[in-house]
Amino acid sequence: MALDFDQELTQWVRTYTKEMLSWASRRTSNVAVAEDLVQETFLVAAEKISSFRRDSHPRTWLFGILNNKIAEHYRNESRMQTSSLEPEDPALGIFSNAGDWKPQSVPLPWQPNDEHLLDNALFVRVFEECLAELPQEWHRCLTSKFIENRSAEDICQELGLSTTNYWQIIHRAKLKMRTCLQHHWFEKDK
Amino acid sequence: MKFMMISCKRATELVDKRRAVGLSMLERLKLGMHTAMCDACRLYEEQSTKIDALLGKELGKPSDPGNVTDEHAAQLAERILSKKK
Repeated sequence: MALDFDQELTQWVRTYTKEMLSWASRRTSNVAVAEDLVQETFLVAAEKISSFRRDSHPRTWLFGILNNKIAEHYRNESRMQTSSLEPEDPALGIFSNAGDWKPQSVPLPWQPNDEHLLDNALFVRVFEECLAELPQEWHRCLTSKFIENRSAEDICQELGLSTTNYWQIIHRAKLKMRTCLQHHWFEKDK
Repeated sequence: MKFMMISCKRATELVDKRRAVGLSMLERLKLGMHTAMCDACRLYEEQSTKIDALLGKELGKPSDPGNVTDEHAAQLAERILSKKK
């Protein structure tokens, strides 16, 4: 490797490892896996640096490689466990057999004014706890959808899901989130 | 018209399906008829939109490097650099 490439890469490792590790940990919920992915990213970067055109920022370039590695990891994982809908169907606890709302689950208006909920540290904690209760696979769907703003098509491809599986997972996750928020936040004083 | 009637359970599925992948014309009609008559599902629809907004903001907020210590990152960086040589 040419000397200037080597120096450049060394600098990037020192500059971006922390941010990349943190990002990969959040997306994979597994620090050991995240470490591997970051290492692999720099291996790829070392191979490809001579063809890296300087029209994007190195950080963007590196995160592009990292995201590919994360996608690859998801694909391998979902090949191992295909039962993405199995964890549980929250609808069972929320609706009667006839498909009507059960009395304790009927949506109630959110009070007080909910414009700035995320400015409230207590609410953020409840929200994070509700999120943490979702099965990992659902969490991953939400992350791909909301962190990266990707199209449904891309997400299905990345996670190896059919379109129907995908929206059902999103639906189940949101049913569960809504119920959790209603019980632990909006109704907490009742 | 009975074939146009859907349950609340189905209506909530369509609410989220619409936001995730979109609905067919028939599904849109069925959902529209249901929410026109059902306060609970109309509320669900409203809150589903809000939950999307909350998820977008909360998940999308800049990565919090707090879960990775400087030391941890430095160790990994050294490991990567030692392999590179």
